[in-house]
Amino acid sequence: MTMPLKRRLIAMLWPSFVCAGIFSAFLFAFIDPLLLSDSLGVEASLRLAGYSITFLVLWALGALSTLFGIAILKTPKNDGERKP
Amino acid sequence: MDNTDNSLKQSLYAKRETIHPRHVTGIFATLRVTAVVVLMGIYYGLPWIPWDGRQAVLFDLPARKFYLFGITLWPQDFIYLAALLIVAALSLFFFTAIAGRLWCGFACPQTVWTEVFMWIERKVEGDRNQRIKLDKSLNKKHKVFLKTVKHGIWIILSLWTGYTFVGYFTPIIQLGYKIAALQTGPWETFWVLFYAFATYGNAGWMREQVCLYMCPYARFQSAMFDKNTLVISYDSARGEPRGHRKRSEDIKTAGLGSCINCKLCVQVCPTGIDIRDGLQYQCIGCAACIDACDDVMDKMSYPKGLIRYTTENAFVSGETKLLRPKVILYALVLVAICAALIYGLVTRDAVGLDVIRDRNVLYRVTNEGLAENIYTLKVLNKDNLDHTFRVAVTGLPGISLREEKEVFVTSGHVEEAIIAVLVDPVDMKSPSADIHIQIIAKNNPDLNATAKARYLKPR
Repeated sequence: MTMPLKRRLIAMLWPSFVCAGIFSAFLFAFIDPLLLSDSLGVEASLRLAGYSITFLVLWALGALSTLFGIAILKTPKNDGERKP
Repeated sequence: MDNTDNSLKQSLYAKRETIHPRHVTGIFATLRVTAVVVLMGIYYGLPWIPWDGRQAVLFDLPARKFYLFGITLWPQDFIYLAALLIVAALSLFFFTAIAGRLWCGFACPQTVWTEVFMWIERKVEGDRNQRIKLDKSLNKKHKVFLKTVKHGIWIILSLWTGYTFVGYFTPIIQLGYKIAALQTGPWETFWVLFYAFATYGNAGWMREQVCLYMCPYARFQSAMFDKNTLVISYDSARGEPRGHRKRSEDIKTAGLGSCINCKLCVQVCPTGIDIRDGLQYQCIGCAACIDACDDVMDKMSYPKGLIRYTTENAFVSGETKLLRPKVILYALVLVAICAALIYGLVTRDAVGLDVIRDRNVLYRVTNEGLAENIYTLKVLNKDNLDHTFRVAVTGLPGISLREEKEVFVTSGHVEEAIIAVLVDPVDMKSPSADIHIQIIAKNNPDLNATAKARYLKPR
């Protein structure tokens, strides 16, 4: 699996972005970000910060997961070991 | 891996060459420009429409309320938003089954913004040939000047797009004042810049690559296609053998087809494909090649439609079946969900009630030997008028409130009230039981809500 950096970046950042958006919308439909920060013991005064930080964290986690996925797809076998 | 796979892989991973689509006019170009103007008008205009002293469409995230003209939606109404998304997805399936990639060619934000960005590019740098010349030009000064102007306009438009986007979530006029005074909050600033960057990157730089590499719809849309779906096709039976000829030449004696091989269909294509090679996944169905080819056919005095919107069946048998099981099914489900959504919105409860048990004290025994449980009520008034609500409890013999409770809630707000509910423990058979707490508007008994709560008996 040789893939240009640009395509790897797209694979990492784009699906995780979409999923983070969906998860955040779903999560905050049921939970007020202020309650969430309360239960985490974090001082927070702005809901906007709660939404944004959660979204960015989810995005980063998703990107990390794809990075992991890309890494384990790269097996040495694919580098031309088997020739017809 | 066979050859086709290899060539596909190469094309997927090949270094991108800039595509300079040629400007095109015609019926589909007019349709697309109309779609662009309408959709951009809606996007940029909607947040500015006032309604009852507030913004008509405002997804007020900081206050956790969604305003949609006369309707106010709360987080509790999430189901409507979900239903709306399902309606959107089903409409996409429905239109794709009938007319192919209509969405891609005319309504997708990627297409719409790219169209606007290309229009700016054309105004600044000229049409295709001038742009190609400019890219190769050695006149550094001229080149840098034009590119700076183009990117400058793109960036300004992108920033305005970002501002509009955030204006859907926080009142746009106040946001404007805050920006003018450079007093926006850190997150507002972040999201304006983020959305501006995404617009600039996607419509200015990425363009067709978004469709080719990023779009999930492009990958699964073939599942909705069948032989009766409208696609853009080149009539190879009529067009081939292609070749140059004089206008006066008779094609029959010259042994030529209708295609004069002018390659205009390739030059106008925003994804840079040759439609004459057959249907390709890169084709976003924008019909630019139809416009270009029809123009040429006119000039050659040949009949139009060498490239046309048609179906596979129409090519083979001349007939297209519109009403097929797939289309009927999509339509039925779509109508059903729309009906449920409208019914739900019309009959939506105007009052909401949440009951939370007091967590610190499970129960208390009063001096009279009665059990007492404490509850916090959250009364939500979704009605457009202010109301005073009376609280009532039922569900256990002799159940009563320690004192009568009334809650005044202004329109669109939530008020909390704490109630103490008394029961004689002798009347309770089990250690705990369900009770019902009801709120009723004093001036309109139809306006009421009931919630269930757990009552604990002292042990």
